[in-house]
Amino acid sequence: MTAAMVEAGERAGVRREARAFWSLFRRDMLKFVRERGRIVSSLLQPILFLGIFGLGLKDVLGGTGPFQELDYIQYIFPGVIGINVLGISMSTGVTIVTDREFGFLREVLVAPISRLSIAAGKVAAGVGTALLQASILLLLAPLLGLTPSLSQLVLLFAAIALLAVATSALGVLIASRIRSVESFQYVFQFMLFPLFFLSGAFFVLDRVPGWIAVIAKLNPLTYAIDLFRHILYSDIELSEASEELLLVNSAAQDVIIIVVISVVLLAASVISFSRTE
Amino acid sequence: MSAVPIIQVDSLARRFGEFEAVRGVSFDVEEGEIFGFLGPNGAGKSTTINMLVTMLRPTSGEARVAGFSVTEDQTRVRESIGIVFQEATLDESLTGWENLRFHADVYDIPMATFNERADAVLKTVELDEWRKTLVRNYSGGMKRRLEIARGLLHYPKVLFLDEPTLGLDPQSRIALWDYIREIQARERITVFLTTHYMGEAEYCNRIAVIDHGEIVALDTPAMLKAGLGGDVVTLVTKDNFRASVELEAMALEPRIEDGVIRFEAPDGASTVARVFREVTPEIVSVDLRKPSLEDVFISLTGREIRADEASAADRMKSQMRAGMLGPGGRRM
Repeated sequence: MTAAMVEAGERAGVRREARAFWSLFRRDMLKFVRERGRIVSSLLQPILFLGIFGLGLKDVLGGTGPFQELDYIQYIFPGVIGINVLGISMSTGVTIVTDREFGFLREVLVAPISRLSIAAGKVAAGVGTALLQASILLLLAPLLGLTPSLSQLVLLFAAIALLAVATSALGVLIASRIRSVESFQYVFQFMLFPLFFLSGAFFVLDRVPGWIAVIAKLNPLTYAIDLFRHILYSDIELSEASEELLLVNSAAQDVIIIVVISVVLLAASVISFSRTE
Repeated sequence: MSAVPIIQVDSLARRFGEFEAVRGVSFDVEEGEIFGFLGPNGAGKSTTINMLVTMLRPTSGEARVAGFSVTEDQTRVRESIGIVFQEATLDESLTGWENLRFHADVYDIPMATFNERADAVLKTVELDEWRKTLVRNYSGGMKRRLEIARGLLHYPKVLFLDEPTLGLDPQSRIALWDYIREIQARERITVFLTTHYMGEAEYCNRIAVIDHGEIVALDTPAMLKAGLGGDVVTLVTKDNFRASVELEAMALEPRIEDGVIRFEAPDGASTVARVFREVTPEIVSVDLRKPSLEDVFISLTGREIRADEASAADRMKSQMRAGMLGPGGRRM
């Protein structure tokens, strides 16, 4: 083969990988949009959280919650977004497991494309569905007295996408090792609740025992929710004491930590997925 | 036919733990052939096909498909082949057309070419009117036809069919075979298939009979049958044991199975006449016929392929929607 032929072959290879990536992404998006039941039911959970915690527990917690400047429901809203992103994008893993159970994964695995493109396409689909879902959820923001500006929204979507990369990669990682939907859901549920409640989504993690603080520090959701708060509260005047309690890290710290977690999970998911026969 | 075989298999073996599913098989498939792998469930058919299509790594040995090594040049092999697996591999929540579109994307078929080919291939398998219907609403036969259409979409050099008609009713099976033969003749592609239906093996140019992970015979259906040594005679008498002793005295090789005496004879008609003269127990019934592949299989392996039992096991298997490895790992 001449050098020109090799080069042409490589170009064709890159184009094919890009096309495969895109088709996997498109397929999942198409299915997500088609399954309206799934969209509605996955919106019920955050609404339930906002209703039960935000309105129901509001008075138990003393009217305004821990902060004078914020309503309790405003306090938990960034956390509810984070939890929703976690649930939605991790269910990307479920699509891999069901594809395996229904055989379609074989069609994908036997195609002349790399495992990297497959895993990347799946993660991209997780990010896409998470963004779609979050944009629906954000329609509720004005009802809660939060009116993010366009620039706030852009930043928020970027932050959501960042978290979704980490959680989708986690979903792909788990799915590459698990054969049945039942066991995936078991593992999923097992991980979900600690991630939920030890993320600072519902209460401030300043007076928790040390071991809980350690788990919270390892939880990517902690940093994502902190970042969401930085963005959503940027137009609210906060007292110094509140700010210290409410915003644990700087926004830059949050971004760096989530990026590192994302890269690690992404690499692990691609490697693990490549090894499945 | 080209000089170089399109599939070259050399001492290919695969074990799952202690169990040797395929024990070093070697064979060649010529370009343009319909080549059949015939054997009972658990014989190693699917394991072999999974190795040839790069979905399973051989424990030892080597195979080349379309000139490329299945262990070293997997992407090139995958480009050159189309596959219809034993289990369904369609996305049921997409339409027939969308399933084809996805396939075109991952095989990088240019869109203009895709539209043209998808039209043609859907017409061939008579699914043209169903292209916009979700696959979950298709019948079993329609799904199978769509899988074959999809396997052909990228003009593979070799089409692999793993039990292509499994679970289909007889009518759909006949129709499906018409498609396979029509496409094979028109496109001049090589077809490699596995089956445990004797009738389907008759359509093949050549057959490899596989049992316990080994090839026990490989030839054209006609030659395999001729190799049996003439006609097949089955006989029921009032005393089968005594009759078979007497048949042995006549230099025949009778076997008693399920209350029936069976033997092969070069000239069946005159042998039967002799049997009537010389066998003393009363003869209840007699049957004389040309050998079938079923008879070949029995004489090679000493047992029947047991189509009924096999299909019940297969139904169970497809309901289980077996995982990635398919049935190779266990014997049913």
